Amino acid sequence: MNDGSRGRREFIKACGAAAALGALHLSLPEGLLALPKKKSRVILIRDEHVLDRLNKPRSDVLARMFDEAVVKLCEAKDAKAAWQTMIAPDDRVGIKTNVWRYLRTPVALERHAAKRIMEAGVPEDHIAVDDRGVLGNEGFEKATALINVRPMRTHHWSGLGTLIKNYIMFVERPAELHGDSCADLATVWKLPHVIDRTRLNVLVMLTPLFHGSGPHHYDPKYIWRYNGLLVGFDPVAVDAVGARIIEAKRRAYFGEDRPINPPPKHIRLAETRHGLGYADPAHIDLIRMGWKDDALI
Amino acid sequence: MTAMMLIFTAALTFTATGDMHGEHDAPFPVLPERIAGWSTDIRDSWNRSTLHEYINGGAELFLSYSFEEGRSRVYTREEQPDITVDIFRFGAAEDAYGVYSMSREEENTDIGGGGQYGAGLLLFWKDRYYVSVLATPETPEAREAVMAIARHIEKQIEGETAPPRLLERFPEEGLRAPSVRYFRHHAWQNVYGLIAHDDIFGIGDSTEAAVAKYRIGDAEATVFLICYPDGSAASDALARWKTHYRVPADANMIRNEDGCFTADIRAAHLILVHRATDEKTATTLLNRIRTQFQ
Repeated sequence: MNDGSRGRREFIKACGAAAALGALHLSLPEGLLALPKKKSRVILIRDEHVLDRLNKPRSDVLARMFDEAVVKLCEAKDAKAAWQTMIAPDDRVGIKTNVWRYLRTPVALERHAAKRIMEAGVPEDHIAVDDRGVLGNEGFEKATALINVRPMRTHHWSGLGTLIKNYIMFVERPAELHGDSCADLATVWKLPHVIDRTRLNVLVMLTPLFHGSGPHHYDPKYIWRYNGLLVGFDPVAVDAVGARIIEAKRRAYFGEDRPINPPPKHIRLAETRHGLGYADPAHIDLIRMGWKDDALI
Repeated sequence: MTAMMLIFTAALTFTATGDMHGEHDAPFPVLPERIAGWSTDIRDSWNRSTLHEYINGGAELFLSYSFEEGRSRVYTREEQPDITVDIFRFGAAEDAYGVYSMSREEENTDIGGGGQYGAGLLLFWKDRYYVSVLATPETPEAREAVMAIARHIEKQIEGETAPPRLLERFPEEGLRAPSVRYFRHHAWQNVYGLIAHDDIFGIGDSTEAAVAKYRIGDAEATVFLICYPDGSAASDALARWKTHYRVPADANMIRNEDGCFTADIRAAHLILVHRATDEKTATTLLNRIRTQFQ
């Protein structure tokens, strides 16, 4: 697998133009952005035993959860068949991970995704795993398919660190998207080097962070062992379900309705302004699997 | 908005920290290679230009104070959580206190000028240093190691343990002490709810300001104290406050959907009582603060 950062290549130069195209897209009449009236399927799978006493995921349990969720999402007979509906042998695949040191995407999950992608016929050297170096990574430059996988947490600028936000590294100057609580993060998904490439979204809910404090916005008293994964094709729908779980946890912990600050408005706007997917629960088909205790949703 | 934020961040990064009270070459506390069964081989340091690489999304807070340098180490031990130690040095003790105050929820640990511990995270300040020691998840062994590391650091720091003197103006009755926040940049005027994106009080990037929450019976309020260089600056700020909240020229109180708001000036200080549950609470608090200036 290609997991290194390389020198920035020509396609990065296109990112400025891409941003302009994104802005152009936003100026289209709303009707042209309207989503078809259907429901987005989101799988919530949980396992009471996925974490050890140090909150590290047990690889075998995590892999089984991931497989079961993907099989259900794709309505396939097994994991291999499920991945074959998402990935073709001639695809070049980028696994967009998240390496934030206090709550990173489990390496076991990255590896298991890569394993299933290889079983779908993709050579190992056509699979890249990266986070902050995607713009300089040849594997992502050539990617025809993206797998988006990251943990859910509260965030300084956007209210929540979400699947939608995980693609912010596909722009050269991420800080330019921080305005108005990162309201327009969904524009990144419309950029030419990103649009229509995402095949699967996985929001890791093993130990979500529901409130931020301290120098790193990470205080262990604000994580909890939820032991779950949220999996879907629609990143907005998956994020919206994750946000509801975080809000429910905050209500339970603080004993009052304490809204996420700043508000994660980018999730709702990803539907209403950018037409990326569904945030409205009425358009989300949530399927629950596995451990049911304290599901909060 | 985006352009404003970029300018804000860039300005913070390159702001000369001229109003510093300490020695620039004060030695950093030395951390041990091994302690309580943990050992370290990961170390790094940060300055005003690189801090954002270490603190994802949170560097602006530090840069808005007189942050100078940070050092971090990660300790590891088999079958135990990693322990991350961060020591941040500022140009002034008030600023170390200020950054600490922004994360304070319950001061429960007698260390340095004040500290709080919970679930594996210890935060404290002393003199020009703000220290974070984090073990996650917490284990009994890790908790002991966190405290041992913190004590090791604290005993090497000499100097200030008293909060900034401005805070002495807050009346004690009804004060929710852990809620006190101290700052010198207008960005943090919104720490307890949005007032304005603009610098309507003229705090700029150096004026001393503090905010605290009060509870009197069932009533609540938020109190700001802003200390200006002179009375004229305070009067100007009061006039802008009246304009912002549409307070009639001949009044000093207004009520809106967020509660009662009142203000006054004393000895070049702007006193603001915001979001009071009722007029009586607002007036009571304002009068109590006025007496602090007699």
